[in-house]
Amino acid sequence: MPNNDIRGELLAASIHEIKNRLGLMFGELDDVLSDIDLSNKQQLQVQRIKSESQFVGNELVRVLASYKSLSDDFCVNVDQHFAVEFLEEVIARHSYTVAAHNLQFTLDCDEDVSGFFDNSILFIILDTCIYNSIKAGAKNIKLSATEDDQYLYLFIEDNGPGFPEELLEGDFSQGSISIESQSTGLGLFFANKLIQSHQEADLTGSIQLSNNLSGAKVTLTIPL
Amino acid sequence: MALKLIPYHKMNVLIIEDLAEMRSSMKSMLSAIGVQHTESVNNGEDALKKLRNNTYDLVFSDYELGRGKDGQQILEEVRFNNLVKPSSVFIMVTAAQTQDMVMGALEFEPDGYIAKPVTLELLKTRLVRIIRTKDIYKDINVALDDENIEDALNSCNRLAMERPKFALPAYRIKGKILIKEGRFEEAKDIYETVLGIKRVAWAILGMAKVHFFCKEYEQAQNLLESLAKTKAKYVEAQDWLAKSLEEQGKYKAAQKVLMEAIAQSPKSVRRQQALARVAEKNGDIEIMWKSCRKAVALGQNSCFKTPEVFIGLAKSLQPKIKNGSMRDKKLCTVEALNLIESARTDFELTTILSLKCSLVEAETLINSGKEEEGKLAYRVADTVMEMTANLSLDDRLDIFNTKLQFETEDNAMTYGKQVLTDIAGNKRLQVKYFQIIEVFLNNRPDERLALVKERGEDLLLREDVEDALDLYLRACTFKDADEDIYLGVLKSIIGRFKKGRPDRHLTQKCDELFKKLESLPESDPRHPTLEQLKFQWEEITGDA
Repeated sequence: MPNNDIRGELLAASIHEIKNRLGLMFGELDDVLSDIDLSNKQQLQVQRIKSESQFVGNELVRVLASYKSLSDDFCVNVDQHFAVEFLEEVIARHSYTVAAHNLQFTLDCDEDVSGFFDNSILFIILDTCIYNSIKAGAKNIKLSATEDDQYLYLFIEDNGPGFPEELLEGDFSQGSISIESQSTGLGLFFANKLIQSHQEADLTGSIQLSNNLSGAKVTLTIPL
Repeated sequence: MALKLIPYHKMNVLIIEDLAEMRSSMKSMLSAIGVQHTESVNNGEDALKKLRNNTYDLVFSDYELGRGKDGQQILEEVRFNNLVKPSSVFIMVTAAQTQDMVMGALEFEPDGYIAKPVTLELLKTRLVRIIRTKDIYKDINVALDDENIEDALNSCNRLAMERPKFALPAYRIKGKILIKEGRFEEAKDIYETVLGIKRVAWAILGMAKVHFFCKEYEQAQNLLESLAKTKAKYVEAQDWLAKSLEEQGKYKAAQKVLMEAIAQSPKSVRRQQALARVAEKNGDIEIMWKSCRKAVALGQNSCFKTPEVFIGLAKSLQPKIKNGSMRDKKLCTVEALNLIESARTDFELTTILSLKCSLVEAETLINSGKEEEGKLAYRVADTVMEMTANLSLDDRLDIFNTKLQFETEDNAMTYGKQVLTDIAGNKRLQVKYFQIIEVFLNNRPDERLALVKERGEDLLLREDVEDALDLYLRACTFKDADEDIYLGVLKSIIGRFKKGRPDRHLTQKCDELFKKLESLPESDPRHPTLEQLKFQWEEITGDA
């Protein structure tokens, strides 16, 4: 095995292990904390700790998935999912984030909108977008979905300052990363790689970034 | 869709949750949304009792329930035995950390998942969603409640026609019903249709099951292996893969698949039973003992309880009874005899199983030093043996093993030779046969060593390096292991490397043995062989 491969495998295995151990630790922490009477201020701190620990866990999952997406035999596992159910689940998963960051989610989606995707991968992509919004200081995030004959569209809109111009102008799908938006750019680069693994006939999934009046807008396009 | 009020006040709800605080918090949240009848239990065994005796409209089960069954095991029994009406709702409550591992069951799936921490708001939204989704399939489920299969199938077709968005889920249900009814050709059509639209995992598994039931094991194997490549977490697919391998006699491969599945999800009774079964076939007593022990423990109060693992556990305790410390000996003897007793009283044994029981009983007694009682038990077994036709070759090897202990060596060997003839070219059974003799010759080291050498040369001649290596490595631990054995190990390892299966641990073993053999004088007739092996080894290691 070439050295580069071994290096990657080593990191991946280690991250996998860290992720599992952290999961156990956070589980224990939850149990301990639920047994203690806390003041309001402490409650808030606990929420932040939980939110941060969830972030770390999600981040590790994301890194692992991104790493795997670089290998040749990476393939997604699509099934039919209804957008409303999926987006509700996304919001439910972020209950700690909501509490810790004073965040407000809104959901706008018809019951019948559905698409074919790997939901564990899409959870990761949505996480990337949501954490980007929080980092940018947004307090409201709107999730919505529509579909046409070819694609399912998922929209993530926030009320933050919007994407920096160079990110909109530059082609983040090529991995070109500016200093200021380094983590945002890298996150989106991998999110784009992950969504590109959703293919049907000659259609491929993609991510578009834009700014609207209220803030940043991410559009995920997934072929049906 | 019109918003209908969900009649929570009419619902009978069961909560399965091991932590008292969580139970009461769930209860108060449910009553806040209008539920009036809730019951709760703190473990899987009690849950199944309740589910057998009562009817619930809504069941919440925590996935992680501490000791005993987990939520998935409860769900499997529930689905398998129809303990919850098809129209009722079963919800799995999962911890955030394990959520991704738990979600995505293909065969025994709940109606929905709720992630912890469960807050009132989350509970409300998720419940409404899950119940309303369930409502889409109401016609199908009501027909299934009444066991009206044709109606259910028609309702699936109608749903697919009227609401094309729900065609795939409708076909998913239809495929399951058809398989359950044994209508495999129709099921095949359904899965072909679905796979023509999208290669979704549940349809691949469905198709593989159809192949399995039609005895097309290799096709089933291929489909399931392709599924394993996309995502390893489908343990159900691994179970079916192991089954397909087992049916083809590929027991080693089956054992590997099952051990991986168990590492991921250890609490399935049937998975442990399957592992016990193939480990016995492979003569892997250690794994057989572990899996039997787990299967017996998990099988308590389970509909999947079988006598095989009781007898298997007693059988796999024999090495400990024979060679263990005094304490082990005593404990294991009592345990084995209890297991045999339970197998006899708790189950209606077939002739073959009661024969196996008597054989293990006889063995337990003689191994624990109760020779006379053992002989009595053997005599019982012997009479059953005479009357039993259709014994498998594995069974006959067990009988041969017992005969070696209770009958004259000539008699036993006559029986053994006949079995060996019948085994013909089956490598796995040959390995088992020679292992039995090897163990039998434990106290006659000269003969044992001669046997091993003869067998080893035979295996090497046939280029069966894996079995040869196993044999020689085992022989290395004999007190009287000599140069011939060491050379045998070297030959098998080099043969293995040449076949493109290198292994770091074996490299160390090789170096170690070459060092040991340095003292072999040049005058020794085996010296040229050693030189040749050295040369080949340098060629191999030089390349790397």
